Amino acid sequence: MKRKDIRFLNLLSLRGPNLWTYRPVLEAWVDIGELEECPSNTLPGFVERLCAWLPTLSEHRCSYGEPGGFVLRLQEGTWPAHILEHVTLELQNLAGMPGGFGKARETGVRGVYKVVVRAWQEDVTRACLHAARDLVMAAIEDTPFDMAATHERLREIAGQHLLGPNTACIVDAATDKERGIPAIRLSADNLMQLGYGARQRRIWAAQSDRTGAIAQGIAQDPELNIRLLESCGLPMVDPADDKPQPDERGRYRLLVVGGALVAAARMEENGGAADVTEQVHPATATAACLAVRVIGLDIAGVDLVAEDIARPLAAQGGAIAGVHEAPAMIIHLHPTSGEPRPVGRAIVDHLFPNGDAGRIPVVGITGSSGTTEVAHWVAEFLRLAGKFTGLACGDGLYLDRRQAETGDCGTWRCGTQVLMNRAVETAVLENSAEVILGQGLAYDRCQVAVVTGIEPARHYGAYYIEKPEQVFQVFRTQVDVVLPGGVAVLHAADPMVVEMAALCDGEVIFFALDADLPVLGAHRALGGRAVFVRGGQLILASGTEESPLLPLAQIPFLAGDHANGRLNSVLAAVSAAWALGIALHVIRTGSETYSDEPAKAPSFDVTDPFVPITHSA
Amino acid sequence: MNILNIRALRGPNLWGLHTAIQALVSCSGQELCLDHLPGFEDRLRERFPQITSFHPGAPLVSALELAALGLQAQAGCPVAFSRSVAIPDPGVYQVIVEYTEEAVGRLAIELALELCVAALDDLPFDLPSALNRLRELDEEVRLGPSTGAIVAAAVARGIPYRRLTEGSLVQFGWGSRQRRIQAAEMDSTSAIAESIAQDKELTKHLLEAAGVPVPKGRPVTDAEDAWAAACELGGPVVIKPRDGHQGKGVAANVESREEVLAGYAAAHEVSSKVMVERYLPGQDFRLLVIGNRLIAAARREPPHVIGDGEHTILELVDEVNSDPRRSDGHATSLTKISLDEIALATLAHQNFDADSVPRKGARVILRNNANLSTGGTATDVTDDVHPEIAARAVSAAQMVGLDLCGVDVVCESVLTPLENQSGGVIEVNAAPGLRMHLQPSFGKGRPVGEAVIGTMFDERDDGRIPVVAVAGTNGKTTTVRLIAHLLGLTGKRVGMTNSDGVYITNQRIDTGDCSGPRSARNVLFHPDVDAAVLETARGGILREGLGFDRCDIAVITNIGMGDHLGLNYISTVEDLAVVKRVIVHSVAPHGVAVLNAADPNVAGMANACPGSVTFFARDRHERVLANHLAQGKRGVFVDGDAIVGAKGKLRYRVALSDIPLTHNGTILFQVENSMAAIAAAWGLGIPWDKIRRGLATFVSDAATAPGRFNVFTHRGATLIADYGHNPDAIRALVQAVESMPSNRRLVVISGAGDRRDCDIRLQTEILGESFDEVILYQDDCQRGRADGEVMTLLRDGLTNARRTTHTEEIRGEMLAIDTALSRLQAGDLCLILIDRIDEALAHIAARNAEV
Repeated sequence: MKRKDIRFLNLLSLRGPNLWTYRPVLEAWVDIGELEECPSNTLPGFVERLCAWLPTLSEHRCSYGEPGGFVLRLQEGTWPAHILEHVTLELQNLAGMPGGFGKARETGVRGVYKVVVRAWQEDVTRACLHAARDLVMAAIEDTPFDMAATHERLREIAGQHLLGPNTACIVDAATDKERGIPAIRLSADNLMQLGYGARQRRIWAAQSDRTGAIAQGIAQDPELNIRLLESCGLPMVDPADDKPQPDERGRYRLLVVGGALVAAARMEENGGAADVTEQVHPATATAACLAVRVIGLDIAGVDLVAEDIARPLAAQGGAIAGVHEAPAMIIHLHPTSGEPRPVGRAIVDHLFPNGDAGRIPVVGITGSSGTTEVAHWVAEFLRLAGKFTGLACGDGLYLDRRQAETGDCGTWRCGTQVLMNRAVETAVLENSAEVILGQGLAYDRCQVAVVTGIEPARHYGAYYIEKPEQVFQVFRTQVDVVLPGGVAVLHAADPMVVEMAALCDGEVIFFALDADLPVLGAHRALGGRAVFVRGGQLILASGTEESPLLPLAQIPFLAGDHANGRLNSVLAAVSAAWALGIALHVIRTGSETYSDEPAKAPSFDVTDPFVPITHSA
Repeated sequence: MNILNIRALRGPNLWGLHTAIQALVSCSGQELCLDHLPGFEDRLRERFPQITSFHPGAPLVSALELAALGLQAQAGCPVAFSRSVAIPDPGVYQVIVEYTEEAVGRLAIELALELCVAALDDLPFDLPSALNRLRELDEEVRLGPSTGAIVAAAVARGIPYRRLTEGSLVQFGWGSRQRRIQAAEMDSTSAIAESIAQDKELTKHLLEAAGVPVPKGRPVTDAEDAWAAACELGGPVVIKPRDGHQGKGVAANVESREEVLAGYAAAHEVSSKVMVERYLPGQDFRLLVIGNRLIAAARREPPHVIGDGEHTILELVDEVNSDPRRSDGHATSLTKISLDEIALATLAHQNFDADSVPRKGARVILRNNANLSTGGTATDVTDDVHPEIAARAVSAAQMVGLDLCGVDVVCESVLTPLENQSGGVIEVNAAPGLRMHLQPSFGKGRPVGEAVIGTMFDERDDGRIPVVAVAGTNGKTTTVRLIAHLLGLTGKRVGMTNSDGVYITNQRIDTGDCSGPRSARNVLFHPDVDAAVLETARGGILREGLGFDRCDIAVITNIGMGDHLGLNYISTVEDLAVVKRVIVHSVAPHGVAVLNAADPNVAGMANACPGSVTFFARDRHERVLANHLAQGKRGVFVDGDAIVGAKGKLRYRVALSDIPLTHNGTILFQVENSMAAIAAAWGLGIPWDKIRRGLATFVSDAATAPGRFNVFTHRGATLIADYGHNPDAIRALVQAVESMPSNRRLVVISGAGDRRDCDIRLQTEILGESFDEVILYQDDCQRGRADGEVMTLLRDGLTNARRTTHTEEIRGEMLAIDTALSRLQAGDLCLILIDRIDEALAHIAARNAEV
């Protein structure tokens, strides 16, 4: 039955890197039905109605690369899915989120499109997408649309779901290009994880995970605050002295992070704040830092009164009014006069000193087959190297040697769970094509990416994937996220995989059964690393240099019927272990001892002693 | 009998190391001897039979003393020491009674007085009510069981502690090494982690991510949604508020629609956010994780009674409550069961009421949670916990981010992994109660306090910083400053108290006389202090005791003829020595007392020192020093042109010419101060090259040490300004002055009215032997003396002066200085004994500038 309507067939939350972009997006499968016959230029008054409701659409550049580009496309004629994309982005914009990535693509089915928009926050983006559909339909059908109410409602939803300003400014500073620290939102509130696994830190507004509960309690008790600070010789405002006398002294708020003054603002009569960071006298900065140290906080605001912030407090009857935990940072980010201060960055530098990005080694494994096997092998090598390893793969979730969950755990959810775990020192995460297509990767970047091999036809059918190029796009996602210092481990015998080498920001290690593959030769000629088999030996080659690791005959895993299928997995895993810098003797031992029998931890049942003995010697 | 004043001795004091109330009490007439109060003792014993026996000839204050001690002891306070001492004023006594809580000690004195008065006048005295008041006050003010256990563990490790509030905030250790706790929270306990633990759903989400088994379930939006969630889960469920504690608003094991709806309503009253979870069958366990270890585990049972087929539930509850371990509060290991509304509702749920008679053996639950505070019991099961369960509890704590927490587990048994039964973690609690592990209702108590302290302080760390205490009649301030200077050279940030103020790394943070316990405590609290040098004056010791429990080095510079004799009932130098000896008593076993071997009252303190002794004296042949050296112990003395530190055959020399403070060794009292400081530095383990460098760089002038032998030149004459105000100080100054070449000598002096007549007179007697001209002055402040009285005493001292040829009397210190300056000629020397230090030094500087 044909109709003129925009219908959502499916809504996918791609919560990590995906075939469209590195960032989380919402992917809507949209069926526009007979509207396929109705490009925008054929609908009388449509463009005017749309632009009247959303005048800011005129800013969209679209394919023309300059403001007004999208309106031009509207006038020339474009299809509803494309319009839906732009309207959703614009509604997100109006709801308070910066613009961002958007795409609309045809599928092989007539009238069905994939509309992809950057999802700053899933619930908000979802609401914007639905509102955009209604708005576009109203414009098409020339029915009334309450733009003001929609705007209001979306702002409200954004207010409920987006991070608060304090948290957001820290997260932005952490995740920007310069620091490149990954972030995971742990709750609907402002609890954020920065970094992965054992290297993570947490923040919640302007509190860090090292902000002590006792110190907060002290800061919240004004009387105790004063008593402790006074005993350390700090000049304090007398709380009893509350007569409303004309006070010549100005009120100041100093922000102290990690023992250093990072910003200062003078609070204005009108509620504004003027940045005075550069003017603070060093002795006053020292006093503020001491006050924070006495209370025991790592991040704090210090309120003080002074006639002139550029002079020491004592010389002018200046005094500290109190120390506050979880200080508001907005006055330093948006002072009404003077320089904004990078206070988010200061907190991030305090949490992650010396440029540390809070990362643990993450190994991402993808391909059409053999990936679970490779994941187990790599995890085993890492465990042997003494790392507490989290493994999320096709047959379960493993924390070190313990299986914590059964079933298919090569998913975004399980991968995220591993990266959230504070015990995890390295993570091995398997990703199928379905995960990349339907969920996104659990991590933003990885240390090592393994692509075992691709059989395009296996992936046709689902997700409107029909061509080899599309399959390539899916799997390349894994290689795209390799860190500059990382390694892509690629199957040299698979031309499609070999093609991905050029996309890798880091190094490439090729593996193959056949030592004489031209790809290996060319790679090694340029000094590249490769892993292959020659004369029954497993060889690690670095440029022209070759070191035999061990004879295949010593790998029990390869004994028996499945030897050929398994050998590629072993090569991939050994390559990954080598890429991770695991010592060769550990890799050798791991290869000699690995078994896919479920590891049985030596355990005893304490009730055993009470089991009656029924036999005698 | 009257109590004239009451003081609390909060640190080591004249009477010992324990805290005590010191009351000044006057008696008169027959009260001076109990023999003269017929029948008093009998009446006293009738009212307070437990009072210990006392000497019949003792004064009435003895009864007060023993009553105050006995009342505290009977109220359960572990106190043992008390004493009464007559002071020189007739009929006046010091009564000293140990306390564990100051407020309780004070109340005990008050009640003891009431008791004595009642016994004197044959009036009634309500002993049970008095003991009850003491007990209740004690329970209110003393540390709770959790904090108390941690503090006790710290004390056992020799870690000093100080309560920062009347609540449970406690400082352990000192200065930069300090840590804090508040009940069962450490300073490292994360506020974010506590917020996470408060949010049950978030906690569950995180635990699930960490592979810790948790009951399935979800938050619900309303009562109908709660029922829907219950249906999804199937079987019995628990309904609870998302942010709650102490089991408020929790409905467990409910299955029917009515129960679920009612449970939702109850939970919704506590929090707008409500969770529905699968009910885990089994028992409640509390696993205590500290750091990354499981320290204790207890099985918790809700308050219940077991039917006997005869008694009503009310009677059964009364019987359970008659257990002496059950009290109304936290004082004992168990709390009484209350048959309140919640209990009655719980009974109704089981089709009982308070008058029901349950059949024999029936277990009747009176509350659906197992908190001790509502009458539950705890049984220690620490040794039963399967290592896999312990590992899950530790993972749970780690995932939430708490370094001290109680993990609530529900399972059939802790003997097998949770995964093998349908057990799970239902909650993680920040600041968990420790009582159930310290004094479980059944089973072994666990060393929980020790575990907390163990995570805060490494095995050999006692949280202390080096502390040097300095006392003596003269030279204290210079010695303190010199030791602080030497310590500073080792890279330590030094906190110092003296009679000028409190200094942290050379910055003055407080002014005035700061040689008392309050300033000492402030230095030991300051987060930037790595070592402390504390001038410890007698006033503070007498008033409140020391501000620290123990020191590494105690220095007594000298006692000499003493100063301030007659104040605070200290009338002889021997009395004074006993006061100053308190710091020697407080030396740590590994510490050192630095004692002046040439001063018999100081040398005699050696026996009181729990650590070792280093003697110093200018003359190495001083008998005490010589004996000490002969035994291979440490001594410091002058040998020719150097100060020598000697031990056995070891000799460390510091040339006097390299110690500017001593003016090439000519100023003998500075030589002595240097020796004391050297001995202290040696005791602290400061390397000798640093000691030498420190002595060479130590500056003592009007700016750094105002009023401490400040030397100026004025029109070719030498001026010396000093704050010396007692005969010993004057003698030392005279010695120093005599070693300096001069034509005529002039001196400007006043007298402090609070000294004894003889001491004031003696000062001018000494000066009259060495000075040609004496300018006497008096100022407005006469410290309790009549106008001109001091001047007369000073004049009297000059009666037989052998050298003085000219005397003048001036009113006003600055005028006196001006008068002296006007009489000075080049080559003369003038000693100005200043009183208003800052003003006088500024005045002298101004006059110098005019030249």
